[in-house]
Amino acid sequence: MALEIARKLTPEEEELAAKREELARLEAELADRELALASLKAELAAFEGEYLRRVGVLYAELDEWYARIAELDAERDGTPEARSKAAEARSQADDAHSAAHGEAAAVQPFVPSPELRSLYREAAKRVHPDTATDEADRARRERLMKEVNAAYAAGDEAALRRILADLDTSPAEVQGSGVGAELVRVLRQLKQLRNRIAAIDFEIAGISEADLAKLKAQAELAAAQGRSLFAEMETSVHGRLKAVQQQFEKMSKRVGK
Amino acid sequence: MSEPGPTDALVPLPLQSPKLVRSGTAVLAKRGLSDLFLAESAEESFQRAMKFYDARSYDEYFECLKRAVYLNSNHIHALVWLGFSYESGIGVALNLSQAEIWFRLAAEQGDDEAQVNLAWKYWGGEFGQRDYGQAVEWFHRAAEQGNLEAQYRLGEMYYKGEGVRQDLLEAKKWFHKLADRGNSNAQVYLNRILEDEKS
Repeated sequence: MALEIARKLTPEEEELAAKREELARLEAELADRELALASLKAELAAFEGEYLRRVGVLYAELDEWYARIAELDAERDGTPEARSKAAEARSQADDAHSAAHGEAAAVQPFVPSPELRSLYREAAKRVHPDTATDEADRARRERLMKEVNAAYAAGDEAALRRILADLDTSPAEVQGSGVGAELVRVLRQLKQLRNRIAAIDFEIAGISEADLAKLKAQAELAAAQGRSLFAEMETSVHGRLKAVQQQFEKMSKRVGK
Repeated sequence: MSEPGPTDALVPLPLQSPKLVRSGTAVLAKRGLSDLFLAESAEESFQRAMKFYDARSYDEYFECLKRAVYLNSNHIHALVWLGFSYESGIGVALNLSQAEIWFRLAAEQGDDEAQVNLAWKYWGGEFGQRDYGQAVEWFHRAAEQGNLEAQYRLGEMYYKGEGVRQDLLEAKKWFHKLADRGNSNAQVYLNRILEDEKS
């Protein structure tokens, strides 16, 4: 809605102009936060992928040997206790195996280009659900935002460009009539944006508290000291693997006799 | 103009449900983290043990060492020191069969120096009877990892038939590896084997 300059603005119009400026600022801030959140998630997913491929598989292998040992024990003792222990160890080994070889392990390194980041920021600003004016618009934006996030995580610049291009051709947003109605809408949008920003901060804090993020922080610390955390972890679990394998071999020989 | 009503103030649920929290993989991350923490604490204990050792406070030294191994049973240096303590009766009563257990555990971690250490102990009969079979086995494991001392020792043993049946082919194999890396003693042995083969 174009403001008429010639005429002196009413207090309501002045407030509307000020709130619109604030809205623009918050929209930019929200886009930055969404970018930070999406990047954090993508980086963690990539880190998790490498962790699972290198260390997770070793833990899974370790659990497999523990399960075999427990099963040998159960076979030899035959007590209900030994059997339930074996079943438990087996189920843990299966869980560890599917975790270490599941879809999370397939995630490849995430290195967003500056272009990808700026496309994401632009798209987030344009489609963000919290700038919706009504429920139908909100639903449409939520769907789009999901597409935007998926495209970013996949490093798909072309998809982001397509989403932005489609926005350009979609019908202009319907503006409400009257300064009063417009002001109510802007204030509601402001509140929504602030809520979303608070929710993002909350979510980032939660993710950073998770074990995976702590592990990543440790890996970065080690890398800064010229060490490789994954290599150290591999060595450590390898050592245990060998010991457990030997124990299994000794036990199976004894059972064989 | 009033702000929108209180129903709008509800913080909406995060849009993008965080798929990161998959229980299975989260458990693996937790495990890695707690292992790291244990390894770190073990290293601290080990370093304290070394300080006590230098200060000749052997009781405290041995307590810290035991704790290090308790926290991280893969700590190779702590395992070797534990073996050494039992072997020499430092901070604990001398006990050769205990010494063997800990030296062995260290070697079983796959560390070549711990393996060479153990091989020499069997060779010298430090745990009682000399055990050439064990000595050869552990020299082999270290040599296959590229340990130069073990390779040289194996070359000599096979050349002289010490603890093993003489086997010039096997001796040549190990001396060749060393000579290729510029070890002149190994080259001397190789030349000698060649001369023997001629005569």
